Amino acid sequence: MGRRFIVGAGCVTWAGLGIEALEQALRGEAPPFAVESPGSGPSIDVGRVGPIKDPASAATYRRWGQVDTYSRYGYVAARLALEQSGLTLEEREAYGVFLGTSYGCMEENQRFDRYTIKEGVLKGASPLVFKGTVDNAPAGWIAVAFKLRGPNATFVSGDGAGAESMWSGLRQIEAMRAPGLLCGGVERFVDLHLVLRERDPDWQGATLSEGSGVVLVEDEAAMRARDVTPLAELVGVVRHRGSITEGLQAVGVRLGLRLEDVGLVSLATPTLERLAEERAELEQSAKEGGHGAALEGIEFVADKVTLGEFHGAWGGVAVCAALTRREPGGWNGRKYALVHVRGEGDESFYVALGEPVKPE
Amino acid sequence: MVSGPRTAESQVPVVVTGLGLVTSAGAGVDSAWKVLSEGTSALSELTLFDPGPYGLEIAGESHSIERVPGQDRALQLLDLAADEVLGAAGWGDTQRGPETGVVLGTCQGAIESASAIHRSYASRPVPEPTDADRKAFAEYRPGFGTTRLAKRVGAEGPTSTVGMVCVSSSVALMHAVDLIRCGEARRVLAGGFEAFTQFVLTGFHCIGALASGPLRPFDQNRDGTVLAEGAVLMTLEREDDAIARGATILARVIGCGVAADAFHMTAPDPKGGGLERAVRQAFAEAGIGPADVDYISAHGTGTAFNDGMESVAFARIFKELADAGQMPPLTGVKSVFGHTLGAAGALDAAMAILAMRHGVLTPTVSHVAPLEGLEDWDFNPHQTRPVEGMDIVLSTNSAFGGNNSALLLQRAGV
Repeated sequence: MGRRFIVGAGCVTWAGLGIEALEQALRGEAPPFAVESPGSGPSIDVGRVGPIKDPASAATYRRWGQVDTYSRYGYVAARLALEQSGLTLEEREAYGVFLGTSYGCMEENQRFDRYTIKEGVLKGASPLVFKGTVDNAPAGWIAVAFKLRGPNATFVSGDGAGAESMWSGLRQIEAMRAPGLLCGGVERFVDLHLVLRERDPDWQGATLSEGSGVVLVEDEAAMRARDVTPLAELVGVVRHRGSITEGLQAVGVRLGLRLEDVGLVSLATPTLERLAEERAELEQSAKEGGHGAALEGIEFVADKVTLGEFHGAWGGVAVCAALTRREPGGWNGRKYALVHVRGEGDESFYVALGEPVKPE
Repeated sequence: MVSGPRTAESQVPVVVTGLGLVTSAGAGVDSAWKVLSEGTSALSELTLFDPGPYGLEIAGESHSIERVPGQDRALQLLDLAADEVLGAAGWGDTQRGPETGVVLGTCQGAIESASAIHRSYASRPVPEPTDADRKAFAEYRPGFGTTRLAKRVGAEGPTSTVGMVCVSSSVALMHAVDLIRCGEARRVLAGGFEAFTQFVLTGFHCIGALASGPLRPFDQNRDGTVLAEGAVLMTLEREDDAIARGATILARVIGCGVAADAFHMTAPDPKGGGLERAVRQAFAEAGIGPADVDYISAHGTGTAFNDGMESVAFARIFKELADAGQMPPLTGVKSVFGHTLGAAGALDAAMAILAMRHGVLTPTVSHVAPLEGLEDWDFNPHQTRPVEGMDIVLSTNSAFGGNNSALLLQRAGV
């Protein structure tokens, strides 16, 4: 089985468009979260992107004006990933698009419903709005605009959906259905999210954020043929139910990685307090297992604390964040980084990134 | 030409061991099969809401469930299908646990609940959320039905939901096969569900996709589709597991394909390029070719664009056979049940499996005059007829977003 590499990455967050803006946010150099109060409750912080115009994306597609906001997030992230990859129009033909989302096209559903409530079911119904009322709209627009005619899928599996798109994207490459795919997640929240959030006294999560994170994953042979420099190896995506300790062990077993070679673990943890607890649990478990030293030298981060809760987009955004943390020689001088993404029903995804190797 | 499978993992045989469904024909596999095999229509007058504004004569409403305040219709349908499939598959305590997954596809999921809260929150200032609002919002997430079903059946393995409009459940079946082939699960409960809602009906009406009368796949006089609802579930498992527990094997999934048109968001590629790529992917994975296909279960929505696109794609894929007068028969079961959107792919596949098991070709009802140039194709417009050697079925679907899927199913025992 060949190896797969990430050859392009793009993201859309409240901090701006692109990986550089994400990097600034992680360094604490981005503007603060927006403050909104959609209902009568207290104001809350939100990682709001809002409608985006993005002339660079508009220039790529004559129907850009028809693309809804939810889809635009995915579109822009995909455009950035494609541009970075250097994939030409001719080379793209067999490439695919796999995206994940938790809430999908809720905003367009709401718009469609509201027009029909206001104007009546026939007068108020707009074909232009209706075509945005499908969860696979971003993947569809991306395929149409960038002529990606390979496998195309949209997972709506909850917060793990973005990571699941990478798991399934790898399967497409392994099954030789495509030489590469854009994979990641996209999320756009609606005011109801905020209303429920602001009224929730028990909320312990991160700041609600919207946006997208997309990477272009490519088979090694295709990458070599194009002579490009990868951003990282996508070593694998492991699905696991259970504690993070067990999950990391499963990653080691299934992907053949040693914790001693891991320099970064990005946990899907919404608060610094929880991060400290989880790290303490991991250290205790490692100590009891007689390999406590293995955790030394690993940097544990909780990027949701800084970036926010992106729900189904988190898999893509978190991987982009991990890519920005790579330095020459890897992550903290080690070969691998692990990105943990929490999914539905206690299922977790662990995306394993490896130090890229320039093709020979 | 028959060539070998592409990858070693595609050699792990995955089989279907149980079916459960609810359609416009009623609850249960037997109800659906009876209507389909008798060549009658399950479509009837719409009673869920006023059909007047839409000029509808018929719809594929399921009368097997009743409206219960606070219960989403889509989830009710799903529950009913689950009741049947679990019994049919003979899954018990042994099949619970971490090696069992659930993968579902849906177009709009619990949109009925969503529309209710859209109405509640259409005005400013937004009202104080009620417990019912919170419940509806939780159910609104497309993946809710999947995790709910997983809890019910004790599936602790991977769960996944596919949201790809009319290919949702066929891609869900493909994803389930992938999960089993790569060892993430030994067995998966997979399929799709969709409720008939005013939201979807209004949408299809505004894009001019609804039929004024019957749904007539591949007919010169087709003028649109007839929306329907339903839930269709299958138990998929490793063939060696199924044999070991003495399960009845209904069919083997031998090839899957999915590809994009990259043409238009709502209109299919008139050249059928995406569908052709999906079918050829499935052929490559199964290690078979067009000549091995005994029957095509087409998407056949009855819309001008879809049926035209499909016929162009099939004409190209099966050109040599068609030129030799050996084009496999092609039918569309939506003419009987209506178009169930997110459940359509699984319903088409389920009916194809039953056709193989019964050794019959079911009819495309309401089909009278084939599309120009396709007069020689066998749409079996009249009634069910016995066929010998129906061993491999190609089941295809296409969707908004330019998605296309292809499943190759093989009769058990071949």
